[in-house]
Amino acid sequence: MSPIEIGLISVIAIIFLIYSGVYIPVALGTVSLISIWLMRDNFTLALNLLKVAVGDSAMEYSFATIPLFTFMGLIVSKAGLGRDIYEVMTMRFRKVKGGIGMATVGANAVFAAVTGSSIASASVFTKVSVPQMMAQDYNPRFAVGVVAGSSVLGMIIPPSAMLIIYSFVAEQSVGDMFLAGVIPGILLAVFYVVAIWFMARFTPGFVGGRTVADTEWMSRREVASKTLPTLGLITVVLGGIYTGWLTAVEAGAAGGLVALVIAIARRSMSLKTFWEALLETGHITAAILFLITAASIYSRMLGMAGLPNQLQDLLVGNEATFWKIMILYVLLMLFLGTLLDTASIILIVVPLFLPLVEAMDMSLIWFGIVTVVGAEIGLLTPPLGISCFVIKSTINDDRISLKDVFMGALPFAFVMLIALFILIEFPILSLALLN
Amino acid sequence: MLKSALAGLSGVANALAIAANAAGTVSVLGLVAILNIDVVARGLFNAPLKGTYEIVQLSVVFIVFMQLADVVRVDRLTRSDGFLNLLHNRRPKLTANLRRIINAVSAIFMGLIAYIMFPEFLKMWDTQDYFGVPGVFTAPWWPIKLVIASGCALSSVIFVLKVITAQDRPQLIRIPEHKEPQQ
Repeated sequence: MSPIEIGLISVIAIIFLIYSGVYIPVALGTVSLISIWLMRDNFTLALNLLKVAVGDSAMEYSFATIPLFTFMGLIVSKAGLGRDIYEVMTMRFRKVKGGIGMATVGANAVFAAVTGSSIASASVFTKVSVPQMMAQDYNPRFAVGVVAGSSVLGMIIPPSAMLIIYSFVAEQSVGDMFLAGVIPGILLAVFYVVAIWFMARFTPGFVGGRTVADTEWMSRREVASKTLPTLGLITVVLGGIYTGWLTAVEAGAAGGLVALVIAIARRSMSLKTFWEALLETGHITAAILFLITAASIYSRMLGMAGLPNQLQDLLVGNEATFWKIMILYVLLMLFLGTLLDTASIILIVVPLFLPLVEAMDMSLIWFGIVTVVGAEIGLLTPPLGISCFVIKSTINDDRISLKDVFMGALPFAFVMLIALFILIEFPILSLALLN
Repeated sequence: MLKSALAGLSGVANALAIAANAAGTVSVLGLVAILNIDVVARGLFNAPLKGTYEIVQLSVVFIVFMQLADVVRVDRLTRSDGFLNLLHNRRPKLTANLRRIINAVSAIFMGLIAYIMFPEFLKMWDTQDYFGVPGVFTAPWWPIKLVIASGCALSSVIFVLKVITAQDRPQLIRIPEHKEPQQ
């Protein structure tokens, strides 16, 4: 068998193994190890590669962004910042039909700027927003759909774990990826708000709800106390990176410390929850970084097989147009997104396409944004949309089935797809903030 | 006899995993602390802390490989088990055996990493090789190799226990599960 054939079979084998439930890093590592062994007919060489990959990839300085931003996000969730922003936002949007949905999107967008995980956003806002929407007679499907849809913002608006993971695979700077995510994230949030407006206007049955007469305005002081901590945190993290005063790693550490100070000042942090947040941080970090380590063996294997170059020759040789390639790419991500989590999709797909993107003279940063948004659609689609699962398990209400969550999320997944195509067509949206 | 030996081994392995987990967790805190001290020292006093870069590298390795065994223990290593869960309803026995096979493969993979990293540790221990900038800050290589080798070895043992007990969470001693992030 030629190396290309071995490489191709390995990719298929990896996807098959992952679908049948093998731990993703184990699937990536084992299959890559075996195929390197077969390609070079040398087991010692394969073992040496594994040794180098594990030893080296764990030593990356910028890997520290993962524990730091995870820590910051967990502390912020526990400190109740999400709820506060939500309350301020609902006050603003209360009079509009579907307004509470728009408020959820807005609050999610702001909250996303202090957490890096869609899972955190989904669980926080399921608790805060869904009961209130149900109380105002909104359609349960719409209520959970809004939360599912807008939770995705958590991983597009920086800091975002997925942008960090992409930056490792594509060897881009984490700070640049963060800055690139700002406009696309806001764009998607705006699209959601517009979509909700249209839904409330043209399919009021799907939205439901009634406008609330009593508008209780908060005092300025209250608004300030509920928004300033979050705004301060955003300023430290994104401001620090944008001005170049902090590296992404340092911004994560500073953000974590500020979040901790806020949590302590509001007395919403006990020693026990603090320790739990630390433990959780460690678990998430170990799981993600071990996955990345395994993926680095996989991308070495792909390189040896020459698969990415072959793919490039195939597509460019056939004079596939830009859009043909991109649509193929999006379809591949949607397919994988039915069962895989976002991180795995990025780690499996990106190494295959990198040379192609470079050969076509496209920006790798733009490609990262497209990848993250595309892979995130999978969070909303059945049968394994992780955001939807989190919402279902957080909500703990038998009146809302998993199917309801998926049906409610579907329009938002569709809006995401539209936003994705716009991001593909206009790279400037991703690149405008970069110096 | 065999059962009690197994229980003992499982108890020891779990206890080790939890201890390593706590150590890794403290590294997270250390990471936050050292970076903030560095930022403040650099910003206010124009005197950056020496060796921050190397310490950050070290602590990331520590966090990952100290926690890995505990991640394996509570079954939070990344996977997509939708298919297995579906199958479980129809063919519970087949599913249990499938899980056994998966855990066995995982045990071999982790064992392999431990097996190739351990000689590295011995080599670095003998040569006392270091990384960093000589004269500014250096750290020896051996703790890194040791943490990787032992973290993977422990994970491998826990996978083996999962194969024997045919459970994905073989917990003879009940330990409160770490909760998902929540409000």
